[in-house]
Parts: sequence; structure tokens; C-alpha cells
Amino acid sequence: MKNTSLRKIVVTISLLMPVGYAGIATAHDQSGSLGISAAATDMYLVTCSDFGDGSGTTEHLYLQISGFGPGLKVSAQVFKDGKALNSTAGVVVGKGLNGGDGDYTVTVNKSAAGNATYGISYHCESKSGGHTDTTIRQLLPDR
Amino acid sequence: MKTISLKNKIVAVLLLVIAGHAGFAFAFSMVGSKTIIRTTAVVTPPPSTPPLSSEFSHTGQLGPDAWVTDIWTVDCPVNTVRLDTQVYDKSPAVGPLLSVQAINIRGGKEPAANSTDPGNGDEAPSPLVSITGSAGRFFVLIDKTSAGLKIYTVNIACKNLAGEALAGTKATLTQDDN
Repeated sequence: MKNTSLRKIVVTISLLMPVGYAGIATAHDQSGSLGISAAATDMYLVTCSDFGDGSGTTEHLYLQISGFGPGLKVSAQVFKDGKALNSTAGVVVGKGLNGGDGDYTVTVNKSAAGNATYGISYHCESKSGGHTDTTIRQLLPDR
Repeated sequence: MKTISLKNKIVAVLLLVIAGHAGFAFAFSMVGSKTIIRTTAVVTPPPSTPPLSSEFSHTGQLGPDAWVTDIWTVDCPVNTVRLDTQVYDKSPAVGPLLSVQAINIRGGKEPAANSTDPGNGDEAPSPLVSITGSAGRFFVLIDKTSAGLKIYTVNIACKNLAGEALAGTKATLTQDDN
């Protein structure tokens, strides 16, 4: 009887954990598309800030991009306070931009003409790797 | 006899005058022909964007890591309505593709654009792209699609309403990821 209850608790927790992670992932994922023009660029503003719960201030913004399009590569650039780095779909960067709390400008573009779709995963993180408050808003739909 | 002679002289003078006018007329028609030739020459469209002088060209280098990015901080003078840029990939033929992005974080109608050079090591640049914006600060980023060293030349020009590159364009390499 005791074992059955324990099993139920374990199963319930196991089912709830992926739901929780999915919630976090959804909150820090952004999908979009780029029009045919080779110059097409989407632009976002990601704001990192301290939750105020003792988890600390932001050290860096981590960003990874995935994307598809015929004969082209999709890339994203992160820019803040005179510092920038680039990330291209399919290439592991493993590096965030150290900009502290504040607004990071993110641009998404592609290497040639043609329609493309993309997804970006972004996380404001403290020095210890914990998440800090992360919000995003789009500044410029592609042309 | 004297009258006939006088008549002959008058007729001769008239003929010469007419011939003279015809000569002028011919000369004018030649001028007209030249004009036509010039008009024909204009039919060939001039390049939409004349090459920029060297004061708007800058060279740089990107290090081997895939994420490296050069930043050119650009200050545009009064009368600026847009910023134009394009990049020349001067690297050997094999390697990642090189791109340039123009960004105006102050906002505007078209405040960001990308241009990628499709060929490495050739003389052809990436397409010329423009973003809108007034006098003040813009940023131009240079990056690449994967790991590999890159050598480049980037053209950066603030332009006025007439499309003229402004001499007061000031571009400074503020992040040098070589």
C-alpha cells in the first residue's frame, strides 16, 4: 500500500517535471520567418534584469539559433554596449555575450535571398548559470 | 549690257548667300547628329551607385572562432537620411560566408539590414544595403557563418537625400575580433 502511494507520487512528479521545463522553454523561445529579400532582418530587444529574489544579477545573455531555408544559412547577432557576437544555425557557439542587466539588441538574418524560418532560444543568466528575469519584444518585422 | 552684268552679279551673290546658309544649316545638322549620338550614349544606364572613394572603405580581419564579430561605430553628419554599406570578402576561396549588418538602434522605418558576400576572394562585393536614419550614431557589424579566418574591406557611407556620400562620415573599429 505504502509502495503504491510512493509510486504514484514518483509518477506524478515525473509527469509534472517535463511540463515545468516545457513552460520555461516556451518562455525563452521565439520563432519567426524572414522574407525573400537577402537583406531581410528581424530585430528584437531582449531585456535582462534581476528577479530581486536573491538569485543575482545578469552576467550574460545566452542565445542559440536554429533555422531553415533553401540554400542559405540563418544567423543571429547579439549586441549590447559596444560588444557583439554572432551565432549561425547549426554551429555550436557555447558562448554568451557578457553585458550584465539591461537591453540586448538581437538581429536575425540570412546569407542569401529566399524565405526562411527560424527559432531562437535565449536566456539571461547570472554568473553561476542561474536564470535571471528575461523578456523579449520584436522591434522590426522583416521587410 | 551693264544691267545684265549687274543682274548676274546679284544672282551670283544670292546663290553664294544661299550656299552659305546651306553650309551653316549643314553644320547645325551635324551638331544635331552629335547630340543624337550623345543621347544614344545616355541610353546605357549609369551605375545606380557610383563607387565610393577610399575615405569610405575600411579593412579588417576576423579571427578563427565562429562567433567573432567586428563592430564599426559610425557617426553620421547633418543632412544624413540613410547609411549604405557593403562588404568585400578578400579571403581565400574556401571558407565561411562573410556578412555585414547595418543597425540603427535609435529606430526608424528600416533600422536594420543584412548583406552577405556570396563569393570568397573575388572582386565582387556583397549587395549594397541601406538603412534609414538621421545624423547620429549607427553600428555596422561584420561576421561569418562558421569558423575560419577572414580578411575584408567594408564600405560605409552616410548619405544625403540626393544619394551623395557625406564627407563627414566617421567610422571607427570599436570591437576588433581578429
